[in-house]
Amino acid sequence: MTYDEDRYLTEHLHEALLTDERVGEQSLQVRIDGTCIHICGTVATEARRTAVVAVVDELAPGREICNEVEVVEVTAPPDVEDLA
Amino acid sequence: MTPAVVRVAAVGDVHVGVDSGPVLGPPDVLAAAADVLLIAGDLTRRGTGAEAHVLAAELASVPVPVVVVLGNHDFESDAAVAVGDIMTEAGATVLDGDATTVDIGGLRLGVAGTPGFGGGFVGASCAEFGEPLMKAFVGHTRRMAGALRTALTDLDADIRIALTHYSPVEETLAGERLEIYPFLGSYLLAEAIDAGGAQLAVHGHAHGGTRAGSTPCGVPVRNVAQPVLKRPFTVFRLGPAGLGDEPA
Repeated sequence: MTYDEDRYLTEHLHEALLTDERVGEQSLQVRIDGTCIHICGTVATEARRTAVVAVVDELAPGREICNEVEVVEVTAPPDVEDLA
Repeated sequence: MTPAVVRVAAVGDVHVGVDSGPVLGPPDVLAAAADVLLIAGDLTRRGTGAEAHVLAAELASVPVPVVVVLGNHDFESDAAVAVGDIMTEAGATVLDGDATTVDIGGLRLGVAGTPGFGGGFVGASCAEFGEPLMKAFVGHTRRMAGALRTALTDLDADIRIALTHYSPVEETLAGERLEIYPFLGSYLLAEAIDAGGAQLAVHGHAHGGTRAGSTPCGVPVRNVAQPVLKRPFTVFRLGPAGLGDEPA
């Protein structure tokens, strides 16, 4: 058997994106497609979206990173549900 | 004249950091839309005092009563008490296994709240059995659910709402990975909500979940995590007569 660290890297990255104070987001999804590490999901600010790349690069230096994370849009007007 | 309904704004998972701008929208919009604001936990990103102060500054301009519970992110820096104190100093009511009543023009809105915790749902739940850590995990949820039930039952109010961070039901988790459901909520919370006579249950935590569900006894459950709402908050209109039909 050959040790393939990518089999475990997705979960290490997932945890780092939650615990690293630059991102701190629990719901980001990590997928490794060949040589590219894809990160998708939403964060609350642009600074956290940008920091995703830095966090991933520290754990997987030199790897191609596809940052598909979006900043969550909360600009829609409030809606109303009638339960009365 | 006592109003026929109350308008309850709700949101969760605003995850305020020191890099955040306003998360609740313009105060005048909130004032026009709602009588009270509920925040269903994860007020902050990492549970630091600095982050809590950012939200507190925004709450200072919120023109309606604010009731909150903490979420798991608010516990991350072992400063949950400080985060709660900062919210209290900003004028919010922080619930942790207890309840509060808000008088809205003579109509008494009761809110019972707890962060809640995990454990899973009927047919796929953890039990207080085996290792001490497993017993502690489930026991923590059981104590929170017990406090919620008592707080709801003891409320002297025209309308009762349960406010949690973790979900009481599976339905509002749809969209999340099934494997993590036990870390997103517990049926024990739903049991407390049903037994306590709530008219509505509001939670957050499940960013990839679904807005609407109900408890086994039919209490509407709403996931108000801001990534689910995609707006600063949503508003529920409730009357003292009990549940009505859902909107078409």
